[in-house]
Amino acid sequence: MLSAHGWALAEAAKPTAPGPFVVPMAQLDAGNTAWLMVSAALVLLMSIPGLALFYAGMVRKKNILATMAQTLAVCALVSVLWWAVGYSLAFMPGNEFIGSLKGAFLDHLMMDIRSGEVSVHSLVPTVPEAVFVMFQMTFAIITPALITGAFAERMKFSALLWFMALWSVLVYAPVAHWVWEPGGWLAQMGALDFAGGTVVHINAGIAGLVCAWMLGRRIGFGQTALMPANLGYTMIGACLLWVGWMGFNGGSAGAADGRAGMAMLVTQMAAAAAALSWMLAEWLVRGTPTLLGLCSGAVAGLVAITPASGFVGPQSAVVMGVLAGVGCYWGATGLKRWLGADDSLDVFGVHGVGGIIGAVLTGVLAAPAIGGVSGSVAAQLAGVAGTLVYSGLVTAAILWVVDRVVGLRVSAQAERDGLDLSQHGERVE
Amino acid sequence: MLDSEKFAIAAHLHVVLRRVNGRVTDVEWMIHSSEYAREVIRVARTEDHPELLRLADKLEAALLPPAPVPKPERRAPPPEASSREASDFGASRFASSDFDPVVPRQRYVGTLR
Repeated sequence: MLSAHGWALAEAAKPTAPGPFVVPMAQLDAGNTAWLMVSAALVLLMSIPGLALFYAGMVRKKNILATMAQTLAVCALVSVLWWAVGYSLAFMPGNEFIGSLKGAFLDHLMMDIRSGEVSVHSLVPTVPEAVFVMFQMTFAIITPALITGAFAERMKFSALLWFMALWSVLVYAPVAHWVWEPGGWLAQMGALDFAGGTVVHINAGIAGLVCAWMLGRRIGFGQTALMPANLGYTMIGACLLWVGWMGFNGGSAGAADGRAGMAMLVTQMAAAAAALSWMLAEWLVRGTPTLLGLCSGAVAGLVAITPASGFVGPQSAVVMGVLAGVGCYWGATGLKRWLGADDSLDVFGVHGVGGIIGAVLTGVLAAPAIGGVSGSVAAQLAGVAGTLVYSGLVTAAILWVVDRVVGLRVSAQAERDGLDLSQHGERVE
Repeated sequence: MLDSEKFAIAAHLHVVLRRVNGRVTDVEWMIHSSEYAREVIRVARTEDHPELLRLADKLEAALLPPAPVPKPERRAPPPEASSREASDFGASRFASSDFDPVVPRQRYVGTLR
């Protein structure tokens, strides 16, 4: 994201300083604007209903509605927080670690049809800032929503709201600033993350793992079969994620150009290669190629190509997809057992492991002809390590606080009854 | 193995048996009665039909697993054997039955995928 914005578009418009500035409306590019608007809608579609369905199909029947409610609530909550402080902390110039509050409540956002002026952000100077705010908001929504899969079927709804609000402001916004705002320390170090491999997936993956550890295992975990309610929902959700990812990666080019087109192509290739490699690995190891494996493999490939999508060609994308499919299969099975946490829907196994594979391989495979830069494995590893440590520690601190204030986990009886009934008073008949 | 998977194998056998020699079996009763299942498997094996033989073997493995052989008594592992050291990881994880394609693992117990 930074790369495309920073090198391609900013180069064309030559903004004098990072952050928002006002331009005549005539300077806007209709094609770029239209593509970013469509991309924002596609990424929103990934969360609601894509991720909601993807997760709801994997929990037990008594938790379907609660899982869907969590995603929807996170969407609404983070939207409001993004308007209030999130965007400003992530994308307004500040220091190396955090933005400023100069854009709180989007007070600075300008759109005056009488004078013919509109504010734009220096990262995408040919698109109205309102569109950029919206596009980035959809990333801010899906990241915490991903975490809900790690503690599915056992967290209090009130605790979830407190946790997500604090996490969005204290973890997501700073990490986005580090990587995507030109003044961020990882951006200055040259860490490449085109569409959020580090900011979204590694960040959510490690936070999910910490949540799973701190909340403890579900009742019956490891003793009885915790049956997924309807893997048909999961397939529909996975396909919505796959389609939406075209906007996630393609839109991160910040323009409707050749690089966006290449990002879409490599996204498709990596997802396909990973779906097949996960399927083959599962077939060889377990003797059965499952639908859940195909869905998971596709998501693993999409995760892994995310940081690389503006930097690699289709051959590298296939290599990344194959490695991500096998790597994430191990992440969701062998690594999961080794870690011992009840990461219910394998948030770390798929998003954490896939994000790390993608980040490192971006450093290896980045082609200067496509992205304009070469990768650095050292810088990529710094990004991975920094995110793992910061996100892991702050997530643990937030959970500790929320546990003291409202308690994290539902009672044993409420868990047995299911969160649909115990938290929302509804159920699937 | 889940009941639904056992049921699926029994249903396959039922269909093929009916097609090959016209015998009609009770799929549900196969799952509930090991005696009945054993008899159906015996009948299936009297036909020289590769698909029937394959399904009979599969159903037998699913419904009539051999009695477990008593394992020799094992000492409790020393404390370091259960530690999470990287050197232990490959051996302990990949040697486990979860990675053995011959032994069907119980689905959705301790893991989703």
